[in-house]
Amino acid sequence: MPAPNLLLALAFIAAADAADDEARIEQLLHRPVAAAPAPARATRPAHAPTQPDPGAALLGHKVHVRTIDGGLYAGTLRASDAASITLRIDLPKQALDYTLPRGGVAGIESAEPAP
Amino acid sequence: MMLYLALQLTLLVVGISIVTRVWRASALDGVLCLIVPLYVLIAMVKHWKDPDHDIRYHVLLLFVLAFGVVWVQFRAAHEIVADAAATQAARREYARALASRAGTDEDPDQAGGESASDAPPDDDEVDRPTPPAPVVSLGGAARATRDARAPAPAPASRSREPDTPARALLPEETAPPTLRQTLAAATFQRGVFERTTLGFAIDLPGHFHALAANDVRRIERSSNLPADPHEIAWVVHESVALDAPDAWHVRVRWHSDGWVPPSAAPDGWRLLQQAQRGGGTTHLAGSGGDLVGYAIAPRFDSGMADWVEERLPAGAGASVLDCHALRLGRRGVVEFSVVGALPGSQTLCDASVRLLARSTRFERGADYSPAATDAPRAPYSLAELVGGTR
Repeated sequence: MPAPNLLLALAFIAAADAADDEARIEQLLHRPVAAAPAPARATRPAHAPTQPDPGAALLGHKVHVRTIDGGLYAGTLRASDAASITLRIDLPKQALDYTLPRGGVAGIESAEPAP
Repeated sequence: MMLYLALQLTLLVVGISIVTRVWRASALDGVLCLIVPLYVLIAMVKHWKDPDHDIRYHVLLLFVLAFGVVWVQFRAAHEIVADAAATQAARREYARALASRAGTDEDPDQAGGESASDAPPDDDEVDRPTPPAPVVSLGGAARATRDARAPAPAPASRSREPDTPARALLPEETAPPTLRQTLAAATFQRGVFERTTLGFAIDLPGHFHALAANDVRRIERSSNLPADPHEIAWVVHESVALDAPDAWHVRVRWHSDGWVPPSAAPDGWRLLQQAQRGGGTTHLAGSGGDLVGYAIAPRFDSGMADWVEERLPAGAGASVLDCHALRLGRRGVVEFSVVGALPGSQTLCDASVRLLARSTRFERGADYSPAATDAPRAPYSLAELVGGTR
């Protein structure tokens, strides 16, 4: 693809991204209360309680948690149930228990090196 | 003044007399005497020995009168200057007397049963003994100083206005303007927000408006917030009232640290680990405290980065979000930050800062280039700026 066409395509993509952001902002600012996302507990699939908790095996281990918004949290998994998970995050001056709703968690993986 | 007018009148008469005499000898010489400066000297020489048109005594008188006029004007100018100096001195003395009266609560005028206006006196109304003032005495100045030192004139010439004490300012008059007043006086800009001195402009999205740095300083002062030297604007969504409890805005900051060398997009986990370890310098606006995690992990694009930090401010019981987007330029970095946003608002605040970063355009020659330039090099890489690790 010739360079001018490539630049044009990039500019078009950037403009489209900006338009997406603008529309998203308006949607988030003016969304009706009824359209707000339901709490994590309500979005859980009905069969979830019958499945084994994927975090149970990692209790007490250092884990990396990815959220559905693209967030990253690292800590020691202290608790995990159908509603939430709790991490112990060691900070330079303190340790913090941090709870994430299950509905916002996209994945948990071990952060400890494999034996 | 009268002397000056008399001299000018005599000068006019002598001048007419000269022109008339020269005109009789030569009309051309007469006209030239009127329009060419000092041509009278030529006419005087030409008709020196002609008794009917000789103007030597006229010219002599003309010069004498001219010197007289200049002298009178010079003297008047000196008197005006000296009078002004004397007035200033008298006013200073009066102000000093007022200040001492306010300090000791003893007013010699009131003790004597007289009253005086609080307004500074005019030259002729200096009616109390004053100590000698450091005035250069020239003509009228000496007179004014003498007047100022003179004893009080007859009571008949004194003001009989009742003594009007200075009104104490009400608390609302001395207090700094409130946030609401400052916002009412602020200018919200739409369209393009330009900073030509820094070489970039922001095409403000349709529903956003901006406050320039001077308005931002006033708002920060009215809210008792410290001034931020990097801050050049606030950008606010039109639906947000800045005096509302849940108000949020995007802070636009400029870091003139130079060209930021490109770096490979670092691994998010590693960046989080390094950022949580701390020890570096935070260049960006933020809530301080500890980094709990990334509500949105850093994303690196060409000349841009955006991310959302979840932080626990020192002494706070709950975490907050700091949303950032950076737009690199050739000579520095434009930062867009929302500080202290409520948890759960990461999508909104990240979209806002990213939108503004994308809406920023640099002028030709000021835009970012990954290739090394002759611009000064910033002391950090993009990843180090994001992580606050240097």
